Amino acid sequence: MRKLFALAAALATASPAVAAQAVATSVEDLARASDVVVRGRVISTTARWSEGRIYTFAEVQVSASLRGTAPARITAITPGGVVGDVGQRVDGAAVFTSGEEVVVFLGRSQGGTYRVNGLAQGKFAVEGKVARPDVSRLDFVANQVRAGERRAEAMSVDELETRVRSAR
Amino acid sequence: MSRSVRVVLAVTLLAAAVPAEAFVRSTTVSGQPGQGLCLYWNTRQVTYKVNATSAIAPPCQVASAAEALTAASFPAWTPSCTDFQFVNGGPSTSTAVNGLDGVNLVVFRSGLCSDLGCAGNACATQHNCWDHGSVGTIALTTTTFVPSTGQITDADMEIYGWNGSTGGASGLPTGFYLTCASPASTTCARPPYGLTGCTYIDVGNIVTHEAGHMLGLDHTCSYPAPHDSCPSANASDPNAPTMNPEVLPGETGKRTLAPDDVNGVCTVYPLGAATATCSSVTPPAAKSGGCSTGGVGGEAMGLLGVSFMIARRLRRSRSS
Repeated sequence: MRKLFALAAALATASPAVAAQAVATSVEDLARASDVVVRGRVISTTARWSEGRIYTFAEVQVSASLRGTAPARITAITPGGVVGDVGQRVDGAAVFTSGEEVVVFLGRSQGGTYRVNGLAQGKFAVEGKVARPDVSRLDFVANQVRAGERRAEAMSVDELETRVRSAR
Repeated sequence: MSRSVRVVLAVTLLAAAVPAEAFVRSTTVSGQPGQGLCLYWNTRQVTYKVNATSAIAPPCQVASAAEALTAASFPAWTPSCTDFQFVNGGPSTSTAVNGLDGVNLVVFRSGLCSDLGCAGNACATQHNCWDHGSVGTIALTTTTFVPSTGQITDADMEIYGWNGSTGGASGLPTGFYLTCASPASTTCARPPYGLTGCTYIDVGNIVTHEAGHMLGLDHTCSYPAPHDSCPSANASDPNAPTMNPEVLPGETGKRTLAPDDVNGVCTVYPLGAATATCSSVTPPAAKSGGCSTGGVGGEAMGLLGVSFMIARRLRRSRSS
């Protein structure tokens, strides 16, 4: 009877675990589209209103500048966040958490701030030797990236840095 | 085979035959379907307006065609099992995505704000330009909500169309070529585009998908367990949900809801019944995490539980 229940449970819970196979932007394209690409640690995040939208401002302590020249501390802006009794959710936008180590692809914005390029594709969370973008909320167009390039997906930090530095 | 074994087997087979729910609800914590509160409208009629006329190059070459297809796409989310309805509020000339104005706007943008030397929402509003980076994203939905309840108060959709330029410094066009024919007949290589290396996107496909976000659904096939149930991740599969995040160039399949999408909207907004908030739809396994739907087949697990109860009762009745 116990075996039967085990079989029954396996049958009832079986479901395909398939991930989307779409290809979107390459790391190299992200780098080419960015003024600076930095590696660093998120010190704090603050959400505030700006012209009818909520943006989250993430302060990043830069440990390495992989492309362009970046200050020691940089502000990365991403849409969405919560201010008081109002929240805004932007599907596909990068989400920052205080304390996490990141590699971010940034374009210059106003007032010395920077905006994340490519939404969630433009922010990799570094965990150990692996860097990984959270792209679960992005719509992917199944395009091919250029030969020799690699889409924004989980990879070793070393490879990510090499691809960013070599993008021309 | 004993009677209890036969009953358990029959109920279990029935449980296995019930399709697992794959739809995932958006929550107040972006990217974390197991945390926060589920997003929902507290009304069954949500009015939207469309601005397809302010783009530099008209989407689908004729703005009225894009408006018409947009209007024809929203009703997909009103199958017979729900009374939720998107109401067409008509055309608009507004280019402002403002979470506090209560106007649910669909706006077709073109050109990069960064190419104009400005950034931010004011720049996007003034020039109707795309302010979300030059790579990757076709369309974006911004949902404004009350964090303490999950109630949606405003939802705006921006779509990034081609600006008519034959290519910038990179040699690639700026924005996506938007098409309205069914099936999509315009491709990158055909007039008026005539460029390679571009991406052409069906307006109906993308509007229907983004409308799912506007009503409070998240992506399927994107999250780990218990939200990993996935009818099909292949966008060319007719069973693939509209809320599948993969989009094929020229794809029109997302204009029509898959059974899982219908299950999603009708679970949240059931016909003649109360809107399902998190607590009423949270599967037992995920209760501690807050809001959760989809993922593991809740119905199947429920039936499996029934089979265990029946077997226990039969054993008790035999032993008494």
